[in-house]
Amino acid sequence: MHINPIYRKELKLGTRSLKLPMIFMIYTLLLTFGADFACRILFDGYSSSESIYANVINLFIWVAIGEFVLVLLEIPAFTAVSIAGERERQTLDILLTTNLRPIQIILGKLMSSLSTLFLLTLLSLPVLSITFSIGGIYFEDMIRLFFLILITMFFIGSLGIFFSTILKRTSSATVLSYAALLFILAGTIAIMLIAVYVTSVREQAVYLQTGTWPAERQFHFLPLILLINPGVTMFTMIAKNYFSQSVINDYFEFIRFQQHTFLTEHWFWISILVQILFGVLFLFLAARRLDPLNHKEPVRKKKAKRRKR
Amino acid sequence: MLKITDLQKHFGSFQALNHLNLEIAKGELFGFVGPNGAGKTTTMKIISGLMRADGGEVVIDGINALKDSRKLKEKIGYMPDFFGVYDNLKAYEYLEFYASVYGILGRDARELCNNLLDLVNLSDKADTYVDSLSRGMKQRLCLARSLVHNPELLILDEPASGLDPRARFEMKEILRNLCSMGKTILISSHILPELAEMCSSIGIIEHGSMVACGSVEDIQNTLKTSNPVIIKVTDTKGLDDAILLLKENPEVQSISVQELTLSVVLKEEGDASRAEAALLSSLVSSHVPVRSFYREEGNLESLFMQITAEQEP
Ligand SMILES: Nc1ncnc2c1ncn2[C@@H]1O[C@H](COP(=O)(O)OP(=O)(O)OP(=O)(O)O)[C@@H](O)[C@H]1O
Ligand SMILES: [Mg+2]
Repeated sequence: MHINPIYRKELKLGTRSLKLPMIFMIYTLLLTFGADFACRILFDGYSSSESIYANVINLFIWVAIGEFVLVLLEIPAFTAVSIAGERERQTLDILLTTNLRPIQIILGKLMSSLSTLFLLTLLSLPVLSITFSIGGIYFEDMIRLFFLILITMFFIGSLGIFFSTILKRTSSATVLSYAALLFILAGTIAIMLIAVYVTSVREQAVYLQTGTWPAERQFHFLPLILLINPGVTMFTMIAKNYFSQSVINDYFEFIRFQQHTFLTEHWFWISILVQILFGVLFLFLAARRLDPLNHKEPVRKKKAKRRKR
Repeated sequence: MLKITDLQKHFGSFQALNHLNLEIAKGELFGFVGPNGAGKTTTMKIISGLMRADGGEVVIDGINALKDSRKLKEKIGYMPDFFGVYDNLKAYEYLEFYASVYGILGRDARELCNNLLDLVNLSDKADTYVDSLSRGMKQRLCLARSLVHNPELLILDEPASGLDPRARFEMKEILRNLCSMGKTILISSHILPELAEMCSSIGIIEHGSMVACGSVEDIQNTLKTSNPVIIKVTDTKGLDDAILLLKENPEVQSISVQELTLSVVLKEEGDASRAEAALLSSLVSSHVPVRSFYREEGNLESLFMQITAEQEP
């Protein structure tokens, strides 16, 4: 099998730097303390087996969420430096003159970031297995969690690589990746809250004027932005599997967007599909942008000169 | 091997390359000289597919480099003027990485890397981390790197900049060596005499276009005619005879005398070397005791200044 040379090199470099072991250590420590803390809170004062059983599920959920958040926060740090780092180190031009295709460079970088991150995820197995030892959590739950984390890593990782390609500096690429992540996680929700607030205010105004509530709310496709939010995907998965609740359906019913449609019933898989597609799109754009023959140099000089005149 | 016609490139409204023409035959060591900002790096980047051209043609081995740059990656080895190396990689691993990029792995790669390190005299540094190599060593390593896929055309952007005289000499030896192995080399530099010493042909670039191009001798000859012919005679009688003769010669423009040395400026028309020969034979046939007779060599440094100054708008 032909292994991507960039991937091979990155792994080699990764094992030699001190950065990785440090991150691994901090990560496991955080998870351990988190799980320990959760155990103390959840099992304190309970003795009946039933309550322990219920709390194991709670423990699993909290550890899963903690892990998800940790990975989420680490993705941009890993991917945003990838291409911009090569550029800063002045090694990118050389790579581009070799017979590597831009997409190979991009994929090599992505795979190396993802495998490191996935290793982090696997590191949490011992902690997660605490919940196993008590029972109530199945292997399926674990697979589902890892699958979701993998998809999220791909999506956010591609985004980080994209910014890493279009920006010159690792610092700006990192900042922008985190800003984009913040938008995806919180911005989309904020937009929905604002939209709902604005429409309800408007409806009230209509009611005051006409005395009747408007029949239809017009959100158009706005609620669909929640599809790109991995946090929402995670939340729907947990709610559905452990509390048998279809939160998206409930929420869309609540804001009177739609209910019991194909979208609300298959939200989990649709959102995963959307995120994969976006990831692929980002990778494609990054590869295009990386090809020196595909884009023109920024014309900053021209503007500067014009200003002088 | 490499033919550039009418190459154009502008950054915004700034014309970096202005109808550049260049032709390099196979097996040649071509020197590319020009002042800062002349467009050498830009040309080399376009040839190696790192930059788009705005117009013109680059044909390498019959392949249009601006359209099929993918195909040419195997044929071109490029060494940038500024480049970095990866930390945490040893010299041989650095080469092995680039070999793996071309699908050369395992024992083949190891053997190739050893040969290349040998070629650039870095065998003793094979196990040193690349970021701790000196600048000259890094430069040699990068040269070795540009050779991993055995390219036919080498594009080297100022490979000797920042090297000490000894390292420069070694670099020259390596390049000559590569040339004798049948590689075509395009090398850029600011220092004309240095290039003239090793290159078979030279192109002088200024403001994005070629101002002089050809073999080193040709370039020297075109500029030599303005230099005086130096004639040395053995005694004062010979000097007087010579001055008499020269004053009668219609080709002679001016004569200046310093002890027993005459410095004669010839008129710049017709065949310069024939005029020289005619002058010498007239002196000899009149029994003027000529001890030495030569055209003053153009100083390459001043030649460079002269050529580039002419192009100032
Ligand atoms: N990316 C760019 N954006 C704008 N202008 C550029 C860019 N690259 C080069 N230039 C301009 O093009 C001109 C030619 O630059 P180039 O680097 O080719 O010169 P050079 O001959 O290599 O000079 P040097 O001897 O200093 O290396 C310069 O005036 C430079 O300012
Ligand atoms: Mg340059």
